[in-house]
Amino acid sequence: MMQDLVVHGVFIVYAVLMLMTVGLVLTWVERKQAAIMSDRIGANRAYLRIPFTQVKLIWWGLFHGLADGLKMLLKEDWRPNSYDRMAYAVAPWFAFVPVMAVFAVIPFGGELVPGTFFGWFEGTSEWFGDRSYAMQVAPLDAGLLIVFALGGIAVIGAMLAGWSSNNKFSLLGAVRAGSQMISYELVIGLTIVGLILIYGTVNLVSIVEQQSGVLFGFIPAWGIFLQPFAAILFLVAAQAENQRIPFDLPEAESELIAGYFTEYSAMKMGLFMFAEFIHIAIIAALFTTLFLGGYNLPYMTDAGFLLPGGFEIALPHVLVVLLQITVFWVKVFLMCGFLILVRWSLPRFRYDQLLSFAWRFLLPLALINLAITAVAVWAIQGIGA
Amino acid sequence: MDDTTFLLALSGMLFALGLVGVIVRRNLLVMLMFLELMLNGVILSLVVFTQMLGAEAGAVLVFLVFVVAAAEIAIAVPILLLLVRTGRTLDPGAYAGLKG
Amino acid sequence: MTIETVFLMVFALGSLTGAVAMFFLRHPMRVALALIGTMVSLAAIYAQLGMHVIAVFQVLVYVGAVMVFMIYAIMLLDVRDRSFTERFSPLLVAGLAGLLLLLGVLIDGLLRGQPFPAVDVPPDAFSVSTFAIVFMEQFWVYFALTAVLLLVAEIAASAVIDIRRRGQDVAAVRAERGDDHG
Repeated sequence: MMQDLVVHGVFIVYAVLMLMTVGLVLTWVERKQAAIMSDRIGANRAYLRIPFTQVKLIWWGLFHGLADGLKMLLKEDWRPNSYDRMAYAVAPWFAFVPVMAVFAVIPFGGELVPGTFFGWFEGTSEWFGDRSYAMQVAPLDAGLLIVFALGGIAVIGAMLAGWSSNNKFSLLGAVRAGSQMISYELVIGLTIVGLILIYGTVNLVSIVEQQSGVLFGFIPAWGIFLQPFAAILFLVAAQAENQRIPFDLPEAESELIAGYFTEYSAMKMGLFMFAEFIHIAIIAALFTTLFLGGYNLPYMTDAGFLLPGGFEIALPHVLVVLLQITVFWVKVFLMCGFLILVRWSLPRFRYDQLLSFAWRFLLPLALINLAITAVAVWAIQGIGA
Repeated sequence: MDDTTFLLALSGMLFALGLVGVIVRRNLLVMLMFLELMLNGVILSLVVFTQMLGAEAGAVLVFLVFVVAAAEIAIAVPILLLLVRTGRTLDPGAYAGLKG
Repeated sequence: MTIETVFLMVFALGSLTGAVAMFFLRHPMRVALALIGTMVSLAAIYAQLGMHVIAVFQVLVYVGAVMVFMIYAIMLLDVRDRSFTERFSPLLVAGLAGLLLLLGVLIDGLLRGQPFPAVDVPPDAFSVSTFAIVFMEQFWVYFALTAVLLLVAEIAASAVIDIRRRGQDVAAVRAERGDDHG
């Protein structure tokens, strides 16, 4: 029991630290990638001066994230007059907590056998014995359903924020944000159902494990090869859910100042922005888990490599675990890079275009994808039986 | 008092609070929300009995009750919106003309 | 006093606090937030009892759909009227007396029904796969029936809204013609 507590405590600390770090680093990645794409240098003024010297560390503008964080913390926490105080204070947490909590069901590694992992400390490996843990903060059977459930809570945060600001433009932004998030949540759900049909489970660990085989003998059995259409739809709908450009009309600067968080300042605004950036990482992590094979390299399983043609390379457990953790974050960052690429390439949708895009274009496509997948699964299972 | 009795007592309290809330509060939206509280109380007792007996049919019934509750809200709120559009107040006393 | 009982008591207290707070809060939005608190505590109770599927569906359907809709309606209907100054109807005292009576009857019935039979429950009786299999194999008829009834209700609702709107349009047109001739 104590061992379970220790291991899961380590996982929780890891998850929180990594998410916070990734959120901060993503702000820098976004700035730098945007700069490179626009053929400019980007922000490179924030520096740290080593004390007692004149050496200024700029590090390609990495400290701008730190400066942003400090600004958010130290600004005056201005509160508008005659508003609903409780809803105003609670709304940023409604937006922030679900985004962090979704990471609890995302597997960031395979099996961890602490006894073998800490093989060189004899006392530790004796204490852990033979236990093995799936590297997931919460090993729940209904993983994907929890992702959907927490996505629904984020909608409430946006609507509360806009409404409690006592500002008609914020209210308008909140109504727009709420409608948009609900519509695209539906599309996300429908695109994933095809994947659930194929894998036969909503447990994310099981989905990742089923992606470590091969298709037709040499293609890795990743979700993106099984359901390419659903992958594209999921990416589009998830970006819209997160209110990134091209779907960011609720917070568009030229339209509604800042939409539903106009009246927020300092740390509450910081929470909203941070939640948005962590949500980018979460979308990337979900896409990786569902479509890109999760924490495994192609042809890799928990024991080592199993190349096509029967060629096996066995690896020690420590190496496998570290490799899986690294590969997961590399894939997440690649996907984040793609999302930032999309953001800085496309203009934004108008609001009615946004909603008709969801209901008249993505939803029928998702339903067609689901129908074709259902027929294909039934036919293949029929042939198999 | 073991867990089951405790939870069933809680379910009874939630149901009773919901019922009295519907009768006593004077705002149509709040009355709808107390209806939902009543329904939640009943669902809690259903879940407790399902867990006690290990019956999967109970879990399916709970799911269907969720679906029906969502649909009921989806119809009740637009009806309320239409009503308030003419009556211009959320006080149920103004709609006493709907009686009989 | 195992840790499971402690968790159950904590979440039960949470849900009861939410329900009582709902009773006394004035603004519908705060009542909605209290109800969300109650529902999330109930979902935690379901999860503690081992029925994770039901807990997730509670959050997904109730908090994520029903409460979002209620909050949407409250947002758009922020009409400050008598219901803000006079929260309770004149039946308050009678209502509270009825509450105590009802609670007494319920708890008396509960205590009489003890002890509850103990049944052997297999450990994965409420996992997602068991739930899905039982749902689709034994209860698909009820599922289909519910879907048909929901469709009927939806069509009825749209018809009511359309009749009403057509009624308003006809009234507007008649008013114009009346002004023209008059």
